[in-house]
Amino acid sequence: MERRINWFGLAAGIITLVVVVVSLFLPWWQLTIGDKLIQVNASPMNTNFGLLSLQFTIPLIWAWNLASILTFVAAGLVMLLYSVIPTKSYSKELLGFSYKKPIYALISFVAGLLVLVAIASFLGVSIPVMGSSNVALPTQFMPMGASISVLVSGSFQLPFWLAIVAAALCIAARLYHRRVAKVPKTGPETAASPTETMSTSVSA
Amino acid sequence: MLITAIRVAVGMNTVKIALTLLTIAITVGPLVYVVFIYRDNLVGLVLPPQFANLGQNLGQNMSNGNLSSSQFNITGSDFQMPQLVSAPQYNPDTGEFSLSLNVTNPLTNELSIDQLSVQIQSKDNNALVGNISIPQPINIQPGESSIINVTGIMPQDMFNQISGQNTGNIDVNNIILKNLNVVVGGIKIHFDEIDPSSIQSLGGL
Repeated sequence: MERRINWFGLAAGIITLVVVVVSLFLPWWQLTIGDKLIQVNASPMNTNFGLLSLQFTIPLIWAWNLASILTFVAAGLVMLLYSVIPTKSYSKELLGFSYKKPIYALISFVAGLLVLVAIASFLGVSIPVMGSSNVALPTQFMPMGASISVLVSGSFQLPFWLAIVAAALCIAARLYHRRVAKVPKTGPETAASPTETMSTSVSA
Repeated sequence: MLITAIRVAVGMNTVKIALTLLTIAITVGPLVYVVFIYRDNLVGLVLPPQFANLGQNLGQNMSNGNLSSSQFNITGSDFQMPQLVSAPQYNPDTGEFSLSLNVTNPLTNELSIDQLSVQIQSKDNNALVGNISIPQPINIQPGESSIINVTGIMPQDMFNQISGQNTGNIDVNNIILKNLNVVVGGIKIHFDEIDPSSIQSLGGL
């Protein structure tokens, strides 16, 4: 009897859980204003803001972050479970639950970031998503002929790139499911077929 | 065969329902929890607790007519007003003055003031009467104090006024600060013109 494992799913599950752990300590995207006078640490799992030495978060965002953490943990664990039993009748349900979560989170995060940057741009403030630039605040909001310009730098951090890897592995796991869940045919010709040789299935 | 197919279908549905319930629970649960915690103060859902406290302090200070900066505790440690280290020096022949201030950095970040300069103009005839600047950039480590030297040129009457030796010849409210340039913490701030009297009236002083 042959035990099949979806190795892409296994890797996706592990990386998804790693993303959760790393995201607790590092943001996905960080915006620094001035010499760290103001910091925006954006992440689906730990969004917070820094003003001078004060770190704070918004309770509603905290709730959203907690929901994201639980979602990622559930997705990672379910993906791990699916990976070792990809041929069960309910495995596709497990996969369908787990592979979408990191992808949706990533797409939502990037979309949200782009919307925020677009809104800021509409208000006359150009925020660099990646890299640094001198940002001048709109003079119409400034009293007494004031002008304020500040060095602003934005950068994606390690968890964001890990999330991309996790999402890519989730897609790979979904695609590979067709092959790994296929009922194996008995006979000498399938055992010798090149696709089965490349397959990541292992002997029980 | 049929029984097996039914069992499989039931099993799949059970898993699907369980996963759907799990999704709802982990998505809605935290939101419901936070709303429950802040049920008596829904504004608190979008206002960080630190800023809510700051708003209360501000409200109390304004109701007391007290807007002293030392009352605010946004940084987690009390801000201290700069202290004059020694008597300001003034050269009546050239109009040059210098003074030293002891400034404490209450932040957990390094405080850097790269530039500070301002011109002083008389309201009466718009004549440039002096200027103030710091001769070199300042970096103060978190929680530490540093001496900041301030130099400039101004009329003796104004110097006396500012240094507390009021001769009554020049009213500080009769000046305008022009071209104030400050570069602090990487932020460049420029004011074309500041009327000190308007700032005083805003502060209720």
